[in-house]
Amino acid sequence: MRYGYNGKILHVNLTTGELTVEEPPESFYRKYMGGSALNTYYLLKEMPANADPLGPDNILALSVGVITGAPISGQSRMTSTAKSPLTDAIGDAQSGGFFPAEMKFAGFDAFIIKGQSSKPVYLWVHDGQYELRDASHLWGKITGEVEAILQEELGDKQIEVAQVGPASELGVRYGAIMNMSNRANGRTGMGTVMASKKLKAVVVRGKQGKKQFKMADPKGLINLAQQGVKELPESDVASLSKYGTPEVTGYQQAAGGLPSYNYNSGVFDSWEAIDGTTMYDTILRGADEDKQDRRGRDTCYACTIRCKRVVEITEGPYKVDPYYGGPEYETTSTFGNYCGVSDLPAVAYANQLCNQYGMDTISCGATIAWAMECFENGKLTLEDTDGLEVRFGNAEVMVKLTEMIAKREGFGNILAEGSARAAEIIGRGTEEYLITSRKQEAPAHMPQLKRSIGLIYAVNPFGADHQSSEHDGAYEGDEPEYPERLAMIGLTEAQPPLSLSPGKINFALKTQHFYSLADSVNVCQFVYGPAWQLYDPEVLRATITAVTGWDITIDELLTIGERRVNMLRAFNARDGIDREQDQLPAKMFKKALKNGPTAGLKLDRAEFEAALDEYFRQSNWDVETGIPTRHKLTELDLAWVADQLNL
Amino acid sequence: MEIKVRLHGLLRDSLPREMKGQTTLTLPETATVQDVVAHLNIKRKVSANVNGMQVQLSYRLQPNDALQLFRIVGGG
Ligand code: SF4
Repeated sequence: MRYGYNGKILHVNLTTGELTVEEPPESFYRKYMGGSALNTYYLLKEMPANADPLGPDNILALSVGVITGAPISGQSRMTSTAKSPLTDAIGDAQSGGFFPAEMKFAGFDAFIIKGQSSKPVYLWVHDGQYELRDASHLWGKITGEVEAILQEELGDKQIEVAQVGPASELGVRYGAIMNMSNRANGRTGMGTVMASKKLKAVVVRGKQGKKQFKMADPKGLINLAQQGVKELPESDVASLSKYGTPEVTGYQQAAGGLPSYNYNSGVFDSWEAIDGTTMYDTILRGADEDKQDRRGRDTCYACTIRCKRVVEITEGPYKVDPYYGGPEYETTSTFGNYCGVSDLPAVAYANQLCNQYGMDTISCGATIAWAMECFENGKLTLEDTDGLEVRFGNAEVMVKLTEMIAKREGFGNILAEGSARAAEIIGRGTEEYLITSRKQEAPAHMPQLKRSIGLIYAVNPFGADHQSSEHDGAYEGDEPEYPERLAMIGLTEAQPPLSLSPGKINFALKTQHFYSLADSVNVCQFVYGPAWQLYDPEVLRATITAVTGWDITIDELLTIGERRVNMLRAFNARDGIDREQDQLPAKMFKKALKNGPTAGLKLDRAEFEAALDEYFRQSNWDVETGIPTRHKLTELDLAWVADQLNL
Repeated sequence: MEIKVRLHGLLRDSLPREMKGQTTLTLPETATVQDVVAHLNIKRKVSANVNGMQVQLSYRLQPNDALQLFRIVGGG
């Protein structure tokens, strides 16, 4: 008996229009679970090495996981994976919302999308049925308009839509796949890949699927779900629940870890103007009548935390429609403190533009911040910027550039390439100000302060990512806060602050495997995790067992996470990518941070190289090249991958 | 002595809602940050900032200090 998953994968060839269904055995699901691991399996199996990210050979895989659709918090996640047009390496991004659960109810666990269509199409999947339909009338339209047209056309308001916006169509390299018009598979340009295939949208609906969703132990699952509801108010995610991710702003500021002025400082004097409580008090829908808890928060399918922000601004220059949601911490950071901008409505408006046009807010905001630093240092002039004063703190220019990028107008056309490529085009030493790894802009957690996060930024196969391992604070100091949870994944010796010791690297690696598992079973990393999250690793294990009936251990789960990291790394190795590309921005080694508690901090080259050595040793990879060894791959039941690499 | 206190994020819900996390406390001259945390009945792990600089919980407060308390959070 199959529980939790459909056992069906839809292969879509956009060149030929052919659609076929594959039904893999149970052992396949137990080995890869779904999400990123499952996606990467197909990329490795079916995609040639050195494919053009924007050509027909690239494969875009969209997957949910074995527990997606179960009535418990944090399970509705979808992962998109393809070769990235931004990093030229493997790309990978997750999003939540209601699309993932609906995709499961529609009858499939994954869509493997190949080839390139000659005209715009969308994929319509409902109750096990599937077809490609013409999307010429949708091409060029923003997300909200597309959703409305599709609801009308398909006669159903309950459809869920994952789509690309006009920015991806125009080839902005950090195009996102948007679902609900406000949830983004944001990073690494997965939307750009989807648009290059002329696939405007994937639309799903499962009228019967929800009722037919079968679990091995429904009672056990309901108990776990209720445990979460009960524990939430006293848990460490209570604040996330009420104030959303932007609540983290204050703590980052207090610690000197709030990247400001293009990462030149860890403090931003005006941080309070853009933090989670100010957002709650001022621009969340319902704030004027103190009803924001009910009206200003949104959720993902079956999640009790309800952390998503819903902003409404009806007056002033920056009107925001609640339909497009609200900014997360990463977004208030990149459009806010990265750019020195303290105008919250402007930040929320830039977020709305990204959701309408389909762009990653991190790369977009950080690219603008880079341009600001170039301008401030005279490396860019008014001639380059269409007469715009691209200075830190200029909210109007920040918004204007976001729009110009989305439409690839003027100077925006260069910024649409991402800051690393823009620096290559412009030259004049502008690369000095980059904060990119693998040509992708760094998220808003600072390697100077969070040393193990910095290491993971460098080695992570799809570029700097803040959701690929646990943050250092959880494993630092004399009295770490979550010893029991960390012990569940074998971490028992907390390390001193700012260290990059073998013990800290072990923390980076083990938690990377856990987070990697989370992106494969496809769960929200605010709900399941090894530290401050709602549920601990043991509850994740119990949840998977209750849904699937598999008698599984935490060790087996961690192996799935490790398997995925090895596969991603192998994918890059096939394309000639190795340790040489495992870099952090040169600026972080050269320039010390200014002001606040982290003033004077910079990274040390020798310490960083030694940390890479140690990380590769602990991973059982080749230390010289950073490529997985045959021994490791075989241990992970991936000998076929070792064959591909001619190891 | 009088100490200005600002509580951020969820911590501000330790005070009545309309105060939005801001209060002035009158404390004995020997008071530390930890005493304020206990006084406000805050059970969560916090990080403290006095006049803009990060301090330990054992820090001895001075008259007219501006104390800010943040909850320690990861991720996001
Ligand atoms: S915690 Fe937030 S992002 Fe995660 S599933 Fe719940 S509502 Fe969605």
